[in-house]
Amino acid sequence: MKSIIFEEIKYFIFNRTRVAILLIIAFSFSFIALNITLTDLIYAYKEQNAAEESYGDKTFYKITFFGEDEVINRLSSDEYKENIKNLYDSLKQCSLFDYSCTFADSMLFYSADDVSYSSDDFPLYKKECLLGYEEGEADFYESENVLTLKAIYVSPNFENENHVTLSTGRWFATEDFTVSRPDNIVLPVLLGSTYKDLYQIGDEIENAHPATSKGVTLSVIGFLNENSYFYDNNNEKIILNRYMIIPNYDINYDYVLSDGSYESFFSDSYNVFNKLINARIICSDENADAASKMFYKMINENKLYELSLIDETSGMQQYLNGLKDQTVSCGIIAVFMILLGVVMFCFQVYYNIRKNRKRYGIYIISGITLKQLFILMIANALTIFILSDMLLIILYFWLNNGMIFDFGTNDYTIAVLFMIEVVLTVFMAFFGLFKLKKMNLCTLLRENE
Amino acid sequence: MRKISIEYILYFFQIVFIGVFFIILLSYNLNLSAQDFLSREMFSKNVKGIQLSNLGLNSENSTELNLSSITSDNDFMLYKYISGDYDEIIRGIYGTADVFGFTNYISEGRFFDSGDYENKTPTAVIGSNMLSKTIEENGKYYFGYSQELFEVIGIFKQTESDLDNCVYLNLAHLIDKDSISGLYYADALNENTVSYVLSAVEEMIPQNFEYYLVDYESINEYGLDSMSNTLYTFAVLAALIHLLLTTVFFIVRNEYTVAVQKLCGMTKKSMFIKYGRNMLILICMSFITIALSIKLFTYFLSDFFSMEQLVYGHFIILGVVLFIMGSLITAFTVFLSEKVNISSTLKGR
Repeated sequence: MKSIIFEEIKYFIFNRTRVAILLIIAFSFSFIALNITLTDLIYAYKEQNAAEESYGDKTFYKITFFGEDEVINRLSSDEYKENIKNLYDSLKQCSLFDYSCTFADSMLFYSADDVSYSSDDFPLYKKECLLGYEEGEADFYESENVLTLKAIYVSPNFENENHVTLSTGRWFATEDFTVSRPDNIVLPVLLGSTYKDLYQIGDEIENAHPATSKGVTLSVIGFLNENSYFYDNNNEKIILNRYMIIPNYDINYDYVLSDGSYESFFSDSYNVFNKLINARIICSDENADAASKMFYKMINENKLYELSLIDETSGMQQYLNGLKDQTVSCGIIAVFMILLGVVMFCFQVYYNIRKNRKRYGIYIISGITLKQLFILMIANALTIFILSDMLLIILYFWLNNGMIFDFGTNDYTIAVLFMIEVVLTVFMAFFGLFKLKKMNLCTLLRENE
Repeated sequence: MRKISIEYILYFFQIVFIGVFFIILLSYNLNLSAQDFLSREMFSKNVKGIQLSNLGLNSENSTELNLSSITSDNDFMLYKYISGDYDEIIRGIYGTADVFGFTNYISEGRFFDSGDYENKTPTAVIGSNMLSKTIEENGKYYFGYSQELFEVIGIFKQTESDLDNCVYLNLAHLIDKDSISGLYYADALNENTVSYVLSAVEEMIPQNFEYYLVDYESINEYGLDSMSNTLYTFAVLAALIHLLLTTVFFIVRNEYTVAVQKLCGMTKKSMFIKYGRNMLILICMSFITIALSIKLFTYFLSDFFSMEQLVYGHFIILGVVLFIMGSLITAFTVFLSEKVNISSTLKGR
């Protein structure tokens, strides 16, 4: 039987080279298209779920600004500090909506005063907690005297997040969101599960710089459960295991110095990015218009004309509609590719049997069993698929550079492709058997059609 | 009634599939739309830019560009880039005249005149969609920028172009008030004037500034992402290969007919005409189906299949490609028919 299978494969490759090559190329290309289709489908499904989970039935607006460096510099200057603080306070106090200013940023550890501060003085951390670790940029942050860890700056409503739960300790209290003096500042910190074996509740972490030049001390108040997550201001799922979570605090001490300038911790903290840009305004659908009008009234009052609102929910709806259309288009391609594959396989089997009818006739006369014929058909199909997969792998490494071609492979799609190949193989074998059974051996061997 | 061969049905679906996704690829990757002033984001093809950056922030406030000192034989426009997004374009504007006829697009009020530039008034001319982003006070509209309100002196009519989302602020006022750092674009009816204006600007740049010349980069990124491009490319290629395979199978299935035809004296030429005629009918039917499918796609799946750049030119290219493809398939069919051995086929070997 082995020799028959070997002969069959050899015959297919060397005697029907044209068909073999065309089939292999066609199936390789089809699998590339199917793979991308599956990747798109999985992506669309994930995005849809994320949107449903993240937005629920609320309307989300995001604060943004127009302009580039010049506008950023202007908005970041001291000239605008008071306006930014006023707007921020007004937004927080407005009853029409919830104001959420929760965002991911870095937490730096260094000492500007102590020149001997080095990596030996760094707080305890694991490599995966370094900012940029996943993106392969962590080395860039691993300086001799500055440590940059991942952090999240959260609004008081953070504890209402459905998927963020405490394993031990406590949530931030209301007073944790206020800094009352400019010196010896201590901020509470919740740590992700990765830090669990490094710290205990009550531990203090020195020389932290939460986007400020002045250092603060972090006091550990609790740990999050493993795989706690939330959707950030860019609607990206953030798994909090490796993050430090600190309150996005307000300042209630007198921040104007005798010369009229601003105290540095206040100046750094009331940065337009920390307090306004990318913050979210969350309201019910009924209040959406009123909330938007109120926001624009507030920015006009504070002359922060460069700021504007993005309607995240309708933007996301539009994006999801686009994805849905793309999914339909991909679906059409997938269905067509599979149908075409099935039809071409039927043709190939029919063509193969027709071309080698006498050979198959002799096999049957010689007493080949149905099972052995089935194996023969399977071997034929497997040869095509294995060679197609090999070509696919070659094309993947040759062309998949993400610039011109992007094959979008992921683990799920490979498994589904494999399943499709198995189903097609079995189908082809059964179809071959069906065709063989329909053949009239007597006329066939008499060479009459 | 003659039975239609299964291969021809298969051909039809394969060609329609190839055609639909080929035209999607074409429309997203080959821009055949006529590029007029509005579709070039209100720039002519002569536009050139210069980026100014301040090296020493301290002396920023004491520096200004004297726009009126730029004297050129030909009129020109100078713009300052403030913001450029698909739904919001904000620019400072100055011109020795209304070189590109902005006045023709005004529906209410007026465009800037020399008085606005000379007096450095805080004024703005806006696109129709931008009215909602203005503040209304005492019957006048104002656009806020840099802690200041710019009075809207003109509103452009609806043009279904980027002009609808545009805000032009008086550049003479902006430069007088704000930093001169930023990206400026000079535009005129000829390239020499643009070069001259940029040279004049270069001469005015203070020593504490650095600058470099730039080309204009369109804000309208229109196209498919690389994954979708890959998907459609390989789907079309796969269908093409399947088309060739169908031809091979077609001849194998019909080898007796072909052998008999050859035996009866059918020449290569007459075979080409016979298969070519069938293929031509098939291509025509496929073309009509493709056009209808595209209409249906754009109607029902408009978010993804908006294909704003799809023009008749793309259909002409598709028609030519389908015709060439049909000719090649016909040639391949004739080639395979030629290979059919009359003797062994009729003997059943």
